[in-house]
Amino acid sequence: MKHLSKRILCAILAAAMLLLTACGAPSSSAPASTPAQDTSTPASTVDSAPAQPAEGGQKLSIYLWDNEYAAQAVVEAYQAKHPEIEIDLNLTPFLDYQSKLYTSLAGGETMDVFFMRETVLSTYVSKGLCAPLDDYLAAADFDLSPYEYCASQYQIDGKTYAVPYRGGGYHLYYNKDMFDEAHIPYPDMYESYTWEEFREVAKQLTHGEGGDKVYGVYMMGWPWMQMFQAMQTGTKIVDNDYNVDLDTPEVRAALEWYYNTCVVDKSQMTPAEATATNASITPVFVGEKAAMILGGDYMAGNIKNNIKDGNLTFNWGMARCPSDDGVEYSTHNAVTTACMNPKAENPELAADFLMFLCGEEGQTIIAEQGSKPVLNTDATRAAWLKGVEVYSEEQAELYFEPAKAFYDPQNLAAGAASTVLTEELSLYMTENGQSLDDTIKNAVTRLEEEISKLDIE
Amino acid sequence: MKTAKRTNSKLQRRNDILGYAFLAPNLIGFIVFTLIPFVYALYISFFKWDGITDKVFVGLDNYLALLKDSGFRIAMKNTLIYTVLNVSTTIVSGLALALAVHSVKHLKTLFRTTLFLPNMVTISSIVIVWQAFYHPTYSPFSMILRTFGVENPPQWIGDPKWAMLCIIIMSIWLNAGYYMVLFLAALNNIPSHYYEAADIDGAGIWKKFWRITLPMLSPTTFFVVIMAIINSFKVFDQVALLTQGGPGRSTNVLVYYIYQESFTYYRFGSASAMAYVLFALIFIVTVIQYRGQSKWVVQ
Repeated sequence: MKHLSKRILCAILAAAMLLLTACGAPSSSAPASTPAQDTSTPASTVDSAPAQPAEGGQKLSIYLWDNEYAAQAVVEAYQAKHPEIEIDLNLTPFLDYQSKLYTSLAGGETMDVFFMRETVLSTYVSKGLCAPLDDYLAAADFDLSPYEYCASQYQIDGKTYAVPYRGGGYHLYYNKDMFDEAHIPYPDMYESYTWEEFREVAKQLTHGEGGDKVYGVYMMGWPWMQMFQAMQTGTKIVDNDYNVDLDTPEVRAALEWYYNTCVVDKSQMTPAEATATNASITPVFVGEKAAMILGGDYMAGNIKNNIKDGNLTFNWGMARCPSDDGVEYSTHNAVTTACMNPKAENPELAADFLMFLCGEEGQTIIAEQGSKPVLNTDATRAAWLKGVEVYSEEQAELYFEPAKAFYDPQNLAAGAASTVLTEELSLYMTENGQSLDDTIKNAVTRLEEEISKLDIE
Repeated sequence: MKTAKRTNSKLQRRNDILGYAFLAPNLIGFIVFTLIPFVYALYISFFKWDGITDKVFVGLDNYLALLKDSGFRIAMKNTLIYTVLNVSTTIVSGLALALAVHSVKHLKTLFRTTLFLPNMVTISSIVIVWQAFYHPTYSPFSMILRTFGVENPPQWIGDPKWAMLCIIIMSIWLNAGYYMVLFLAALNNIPSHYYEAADIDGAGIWKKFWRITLPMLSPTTFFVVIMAIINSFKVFDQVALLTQGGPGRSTNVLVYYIYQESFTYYRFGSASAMAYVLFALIFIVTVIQYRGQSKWVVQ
């Protein structure tokens, strides 16, 4: 019997050990198991000695996605400036980033800073996942006024929950060689096409079949892109009082326009085709599969790199996006932001980094990388021009034009709006697809259903 | 006599402990990574929970809401269509391939390996190839159809009416080889004297197939049917990688919908309720199959 109990004990211990390792518990909390020894035995001093060059050596951990090179360059610069800080930069693939971030935060991760890939700030704030930064900014006398123009994208109810660091802004980019071939004059930089003119030009630029097909235009199938002209007239999709404004003549006109290019003229890829083929805007333009695109701020860096690598060999130009007469010109312009985790281990350090990121130093680095700084000063502009190389002065002028901005919903319904509209619109934008009436009706019903499930006070 | 019995039972107990000790690593893994989450999911299915703020107890609301949820209804319908078509065709083609490979004399190993190969390649690389096959405009299928004078060939995964069929065809290609290997093993185990006896009695090929081959394969068929049904209900990879549930919601299946509910909308309670409905469905189907087993499976 004695034998036996010993064996049982062994088995239990072995099992317990396995259980512990299986849990993969971070064993940093181990000292807790020997608190009694801590005070007296010399063992404890030996224990703490080899642990890091500690004392003053602070740690800053940052969550970011993998292809955000401009922000990575800022992190490197911050590290170079503060060699005493140990920076732990956690990079996640672009597509998995937002869900990984959310589950990490839900699991109580204590990273100090996280970047926001999607425009879901208000959702995060409503769940208490972003720390208010006002006190830190005030303590450092940080002036937010240069960012006033995009305040609605980082402030909620007067409180600052994020700092902007990279600007947005969509423009029309076109392949000059294709215009020459078709004997079509280039678009004027500021006197933009009306949407009907744009459709006509796109039709004329479309040619070829099968593998040789060249589309007149490519705009990507994002819902707000398909409604671009309605967004210019003030459509919000879901406004901040959670009203859905999709059943309007403006939205109908915009969707019909998009449908006509995809299905009637065949001058543009259908959204379903774009999804099915993983079509992405830069390869489509650089690969000369489309004569015109509506591309964002990121085109600067992409054009530069593709010219450098010898992929982009044609002459290109840029202009304002199409806009109808009598409508004040506006374009999509969403800034990208970074936040502080309320559970940050080093909030002061996190705030310092965030101010570095959106301050002059960080913004100059963002500009040098060919991304659009949110801080528009002579220094950042000069750094951008030098970094991008391939833009002329006039093009830079247009790129930084402080045009009126619209953006897709940034309230709690943002995720639902994107999913529902992507699904419903792709059914309409195809041959023999869902009718426009049904599409709008279904989209409104489904969106309202999703909104009813939100926690809105 | 008495002592012998005692040592026997002692020995038995010792063996038991040894057995459990060997089982322990697997069992603990199962408890930590499967059983606990499984029970916890049932628990949170009665709550409204976003993973961060406090859980709110809502009783059966999450389950009742599914009755009115159009997305859930569509996902359920798609899953059932996928399961029925996928299970029947995969098993029939698996069996057909097994019979074919079994009957060839040369290069048997080559055929077997080639047909099993899709199972050994990661699905993400397979999908890249099939994406090219299913390209809405440049698909080789479309080109073939065009040469035969079809003016508007389907847009494959770009077409809501075709997308599900595309996924099913890919799944058959993916899985038929696996079931073929199982059937092949069973075919090899059928004693040849049954066929010899049938030959003497003058039975033809069909008679032999229906009276000997099929009944002798029935235990394997039973296993294959159960596995195929469970795997079909759980389909996710093909959908997530090939169509993301689209166009529209035409290929949105239950597991993908559960994934969206959790990681797009952060409604973990409702997602868990859906997962439990799926579990109940699989469970019931499997129980029915076990009950019906005696009617057609030769023991």
